[in-house]
Amino acid sequence: MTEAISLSDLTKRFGEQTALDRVSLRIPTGTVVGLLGPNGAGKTTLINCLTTLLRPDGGTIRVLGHDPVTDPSQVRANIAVTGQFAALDEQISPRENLVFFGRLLGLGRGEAQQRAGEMLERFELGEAAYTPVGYLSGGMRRRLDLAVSLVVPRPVLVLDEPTTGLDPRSRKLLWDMVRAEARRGVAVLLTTQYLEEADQLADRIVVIDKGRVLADGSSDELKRDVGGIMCRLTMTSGADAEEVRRALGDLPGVTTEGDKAAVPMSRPEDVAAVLGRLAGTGLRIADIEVTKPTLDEVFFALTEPMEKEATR
Amino acid sequence: MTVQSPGPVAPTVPPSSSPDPISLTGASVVIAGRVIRQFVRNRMMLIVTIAFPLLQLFMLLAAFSVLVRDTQDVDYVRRLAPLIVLTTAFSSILTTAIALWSDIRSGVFNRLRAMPLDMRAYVFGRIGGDFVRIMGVAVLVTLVAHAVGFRFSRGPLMVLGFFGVVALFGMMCSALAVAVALVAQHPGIIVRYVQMPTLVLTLMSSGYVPLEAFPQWIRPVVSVNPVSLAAEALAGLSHQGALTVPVLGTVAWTLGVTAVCTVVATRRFAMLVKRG
Amino acid sequence: MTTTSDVAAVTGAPAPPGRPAGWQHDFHVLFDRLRVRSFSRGGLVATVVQPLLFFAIFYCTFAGMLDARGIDFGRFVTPTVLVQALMFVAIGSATELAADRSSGVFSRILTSPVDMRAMSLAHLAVVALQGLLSSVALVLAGHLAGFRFDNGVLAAMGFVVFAVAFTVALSLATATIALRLRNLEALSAVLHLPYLPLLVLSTGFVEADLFPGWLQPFVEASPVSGVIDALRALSTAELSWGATLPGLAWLVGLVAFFSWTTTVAFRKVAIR
Repeated sequence: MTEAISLSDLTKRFGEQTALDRVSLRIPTGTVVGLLGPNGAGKTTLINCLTTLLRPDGGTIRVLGHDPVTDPSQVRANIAVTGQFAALDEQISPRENLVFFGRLLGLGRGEAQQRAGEMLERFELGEAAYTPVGYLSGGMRRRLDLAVSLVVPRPVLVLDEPTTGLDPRSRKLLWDMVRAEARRGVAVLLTTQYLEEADQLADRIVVIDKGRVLADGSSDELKRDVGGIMCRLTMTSGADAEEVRRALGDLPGVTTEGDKAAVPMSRPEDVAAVLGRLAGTGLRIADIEVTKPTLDEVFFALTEPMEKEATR
Repeated sequence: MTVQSPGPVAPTVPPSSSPDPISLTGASVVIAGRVIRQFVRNRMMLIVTIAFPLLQLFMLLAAFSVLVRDTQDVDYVRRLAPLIVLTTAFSSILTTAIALWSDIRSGVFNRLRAMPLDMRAYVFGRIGGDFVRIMGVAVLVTLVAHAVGFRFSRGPLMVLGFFGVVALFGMMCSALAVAVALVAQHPGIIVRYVQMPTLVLTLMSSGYVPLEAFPQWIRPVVSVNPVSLAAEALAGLSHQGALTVPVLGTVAWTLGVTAVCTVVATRRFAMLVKRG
Repeated sequence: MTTTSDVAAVTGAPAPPGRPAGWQHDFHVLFDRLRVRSFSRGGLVATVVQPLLFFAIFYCTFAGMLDARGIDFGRFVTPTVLVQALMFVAIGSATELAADRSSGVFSRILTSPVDMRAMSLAHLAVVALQGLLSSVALVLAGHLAGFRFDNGVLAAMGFVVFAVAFTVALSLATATIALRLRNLEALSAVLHLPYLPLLVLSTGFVEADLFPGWLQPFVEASPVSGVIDALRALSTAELSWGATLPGLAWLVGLVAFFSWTTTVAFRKVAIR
């Protein structure tokens, strides 16, 4: 597999603030990489650097071997981008938008018309083909935005929070589309706030926060790294939240909420220690479950400590 | 969502229904306060609303006072100052309508509706806040105009009457703004349907240029223009000129426009409430 | 799924089809979009209907007074109303540019392999087209009020070319502002504020000697006065180098200066 996107030590500062701090990332052709991180983590900055909209302060970027800084036009010829907000001409119809951007990307007039028709059908926009974009619903706009990005197939697809505000049906449509593109050999980089989306879609997940890469691996790898096993406990009803916290709160990585607690551990035998802790208290266990952590838990385990550090 | 160790401390006061709902006047004052605060905080708005009328006053005076004096035998500042006061009221239609529109669309309006609040307070507060703003700018412009030769020469009662007419005109503008904001589908429409008509009304009035300078055939239209009537009334109250017809005309316009706008606004409001 | 490339492209990445076809192609596509917009109803209202309305209003308010001073309104004020219309064209084009930026269309174009010169040229070409539309509309309206071309066909063409060039110069200035300011509200205020002083404090409506003494030098030196005087010279007054040169000098200076500022601002936006 060849490298479609590679970033090494990418750094970007805005005045005092460091938005990206030596970020390295590799995306081979035909893979989907999910970029995961809380608001303000630097996801959009990374994408803007990659797509020639922002000049990085340090490090190197290669998109199919081209450098966005020295050779932006070669990069632009190879990427399709969907930003966080629908980038469409509101005054004209979906069809006209598709034809306009198609022609800008080098299609002939007839060819652009034909592609526009195909994309309208594929993204279920046929009914609204002739309505000015300003009158479309949020979901339709979002779908059209994606259609415009794909009107001319590109070997690299960059999606910045593509499913924000989409209904489940549209989201499914988008997911199927991303998978299909990846199967054809397209390298996809998508940012998302939905952990489920990354879990479902991405071959690899990169977690960033405060401009730094915190983890990089498949969903399973990340879950294993954070704490191989998660022991979930539910106390009998009436258990005091304070008491649960007192009994288990000082275990590494533990989270408690009301009468529930989740304890990460590396070996199943560690459950004994937890049970030992509870033996001396008045707490009774109603339910115990030993599983792999969810991606949510991975995310919190990775990002929370830093979040606290930076509390203003 | 899980929380690490000590969770948020539970509030000690049990929730209850709030003591007494705020009175209509109280609520109106709170909302008017918000309107004024929004205006004062927005530096751009402050500059535009205050600097623009003053700039207009000086510029037009510099450019046209000789021409108007030579051809019409009128001291231009006595005509121009009242007109500039009226244009500031006019320009508030646009800003008020857009602010109101974004309140309705952004959900502020619905939040207020979901509160134990008389919704008339919202309209009163909005109009009240604008009123304070319009009168403030009017006083300021009059003071500055005083420096370049504008005078009140008919006693303190007439000065009160002067600002009374400004207030009437301002009320008409607020009523229009509320109606326009409730009817418009998007802010572009507000700009389109407010900016040009108000500009045309201002230019085609006996404010900038005396009635006699207009071609004969268009004079009847110019003289019933609300801006002409209000400008004539202000000129009469400050210095000299007819009073009865312009003042009564301004009152008639204000009552008529406010009545129509109230009907339109009430209808649209009921529709908005029904739609949720 | 996609049609043509689907079968062939199962292995490996799809080759980028539709390679950029040169700046002429890009220019054509970008120009088409803006041209369609300027011929829409809203566009024509701004470039044709609004100037005509202003012409009528100024006729009603000024013709009588100017006549009393022995000045012919049609000949004297038509260039002024034209300059005002061209100012509005420039303001409008900057507003559209800002709207494209805030909607993201601008970024989308920037991330496509589109020739950057084509972007600027298309913008300016549409501005020129709108300036031409306004000029033709106002020359025709002026004709009804006594406006004439007294100096022959060549001077008449010069008049139109001069007007169009002035539109381009102004739109370079407004484009610089639109590329620098993000906030749409602030942009609208900044664009609209200078237009009235520039227009009123010029020789557009009254001669310079009617202004207060201390203002007269400014009025005489104003670029708007220069341009209006040049337009008058090209149409009705005596055509001489003395009357056209100040306007021409301003025009060349403005185009040169604002081309530079626009280029700098555009570079900053395109690659930050």
